[in-house]
Amino acid sequence: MMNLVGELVLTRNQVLQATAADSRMTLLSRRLDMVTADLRESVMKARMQPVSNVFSKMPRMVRDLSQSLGRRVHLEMEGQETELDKSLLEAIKDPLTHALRNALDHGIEPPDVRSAAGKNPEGTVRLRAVQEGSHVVIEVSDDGAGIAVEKVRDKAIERGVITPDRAALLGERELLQLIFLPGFSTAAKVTNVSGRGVGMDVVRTNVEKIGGKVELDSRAGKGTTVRLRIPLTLAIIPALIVRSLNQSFALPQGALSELVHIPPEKAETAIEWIDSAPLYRLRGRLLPLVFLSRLLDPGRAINLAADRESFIAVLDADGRRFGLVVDGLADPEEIVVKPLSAALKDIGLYSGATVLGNADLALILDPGAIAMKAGITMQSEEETHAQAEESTDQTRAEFLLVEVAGRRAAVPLSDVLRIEQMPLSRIEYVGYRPVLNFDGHLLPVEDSGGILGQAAEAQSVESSPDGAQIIAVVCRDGNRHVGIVVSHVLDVATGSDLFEAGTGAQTCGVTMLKNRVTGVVDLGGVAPLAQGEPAHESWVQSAEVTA
Amino acid sequence: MTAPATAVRNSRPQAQVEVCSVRLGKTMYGVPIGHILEIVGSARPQPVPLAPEYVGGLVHYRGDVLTTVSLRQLLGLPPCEKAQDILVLESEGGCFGLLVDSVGEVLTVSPADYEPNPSILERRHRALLGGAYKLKDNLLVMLDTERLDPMRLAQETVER
Repeated sequence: MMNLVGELVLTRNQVLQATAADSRMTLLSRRLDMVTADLRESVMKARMQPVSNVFSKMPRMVRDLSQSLGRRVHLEMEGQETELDKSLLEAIKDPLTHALRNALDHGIEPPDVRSAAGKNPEGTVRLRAVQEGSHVVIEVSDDGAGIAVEKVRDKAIERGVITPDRAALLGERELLQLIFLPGFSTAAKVTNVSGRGVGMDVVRTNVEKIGGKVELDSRAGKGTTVRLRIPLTLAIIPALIVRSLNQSFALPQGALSELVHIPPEKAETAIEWIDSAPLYRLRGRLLPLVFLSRLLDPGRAINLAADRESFIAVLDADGRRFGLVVDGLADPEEIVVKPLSAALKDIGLYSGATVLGNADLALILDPGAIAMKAGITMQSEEETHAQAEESTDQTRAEFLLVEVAGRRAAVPLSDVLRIEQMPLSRIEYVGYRPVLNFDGHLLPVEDSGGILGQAAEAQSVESSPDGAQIIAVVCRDGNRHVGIVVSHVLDVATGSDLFEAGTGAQTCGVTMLKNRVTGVVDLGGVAPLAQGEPAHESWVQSAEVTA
Repeated sequence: MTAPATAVRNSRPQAQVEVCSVRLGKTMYGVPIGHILEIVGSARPQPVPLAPEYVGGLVHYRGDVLTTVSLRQLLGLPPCEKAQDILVLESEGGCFGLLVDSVGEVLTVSPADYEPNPSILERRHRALLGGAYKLKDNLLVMLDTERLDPMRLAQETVER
């Protein structure tokens, strides 16, 4: 890290000197930019810590508490390796402890009550951390009594938080939200663990302070789940800058799934309408659209003049999929989130503001809030999602279809890191094994089709100045990376597993791609590089061979 | 409620008061200098769609994003076409900017010339103004900076 800082200072000095000689300026500033990006990354990485730092303190607390409360509790923890910014980790410690205490005291019933209800006398509390896009979700769930909604309502009325008339109008979910109000506790008796009324409101305030959200799910008799949604980092997020109403807005990349360009000549036909609802046909499915200009300036008519192009940013905000129509796109940028004053936060559409590279200000749009405002629900989408998932589940996976010396082969797409075209000279040899120096790592190269040999021959015959080009697919195999030399990359296709006729047993190593049975490359079969082999001599030899 | 500006109240016993004068249309308004952090000249704030009317927009101020309050909008005057000056004011919840047509000089006034808000003032204006100082040729109308805080304004809009 310190090296990078030093380099940054040096490069900056160079830039200062080069201001006189203008032509080199661009090159240097680009370099400065790169170094700064690297530096930023290392700083961020240094700040990331696994949640196990906080989780590891929980088992002891649960044990102590369950003993003093007379509960029998089994604690399960999941996703401890999930990483979170150090300051955020510190900030969620208290809310998490609190949620866990709640689960033990209010959630899990005493063993005799549990057995009477036909449950395992030992209760289970699950602590789970998982990364979902640009958020880390931390869940505390118990299989206890759940929150009695009637109790919450009665208590709220008793405390004068709401009137009985209003309470009658509220649904179960809204009633549950009442427990986030300050000074609220449904515990019949005050224990030294909880029930003093400084409860969920503290959890919520603490989590909201760091830009997170608290969600609550409870089913009577089944248990309660408290979900803390924490943004990955406080300050810097990648964002796409979009333009609308002659202003710049930042759209967090985390929610962005794809961009669709509508050329001017298609502007009128591309967007279809059902009544007043604009829709776009995205790969055969209708995508609800939201016009950003209309959303921000409700009096404005939608202007789809034929001479203007527009863009659809397809967003996925917590399960709500929709397209945001904007007038223009600018570059993606890493933006520093600046908080907005309370008066502007209340608008609800913006999650902050930022200063762009060109010193302009841009408001950061909150995709979730936009979906909410536009009335896009998650249900119908969820259904289709579930269907789609079902069909792709298990039997279908995506493969990269390649051709190796006239034969077709498939590589699981999820294992493919990069496809690189490179001069043959990049391939070097350790003894007889071809290896590739890729990003500073040595990869064993699989060349089952003998393509390297052919290429070398072709090169010696043609003696073209830049040498023969080969294509290598760099794949992941467990923790190691391997390179596979192929003749051509054909396509990406969805394959289905084959079942042996009669036995119904799933076949291994082959898949059905484009109605042809295709062999799947066995990455594990690529022989590893010899460990600890003194590679020096052979390296020297290989240099002679390839030269 | 007649709420004289805090600075005025605190320094009632005879001490001279320093007031920064700002112009808005034809009227001269005054802001106690104790509340002013900085004056930013000729800025063009970035408008915020869907924001409450009184928000004049956002400006980049020392690496932060500052919310500004348009005094013209608050007092019901038509918006100003040319670039305006910004007074950066300190408040409980942080800083905010006050958009005015132009910033004048710092005047030293004596509490003896102070008069509270007249009773014929419009209710809306009365809440924002904190009395006036009688100068030789004109009146220096004091602004109650605490009430100009966007957080406070937001609360009041909700209550109304």
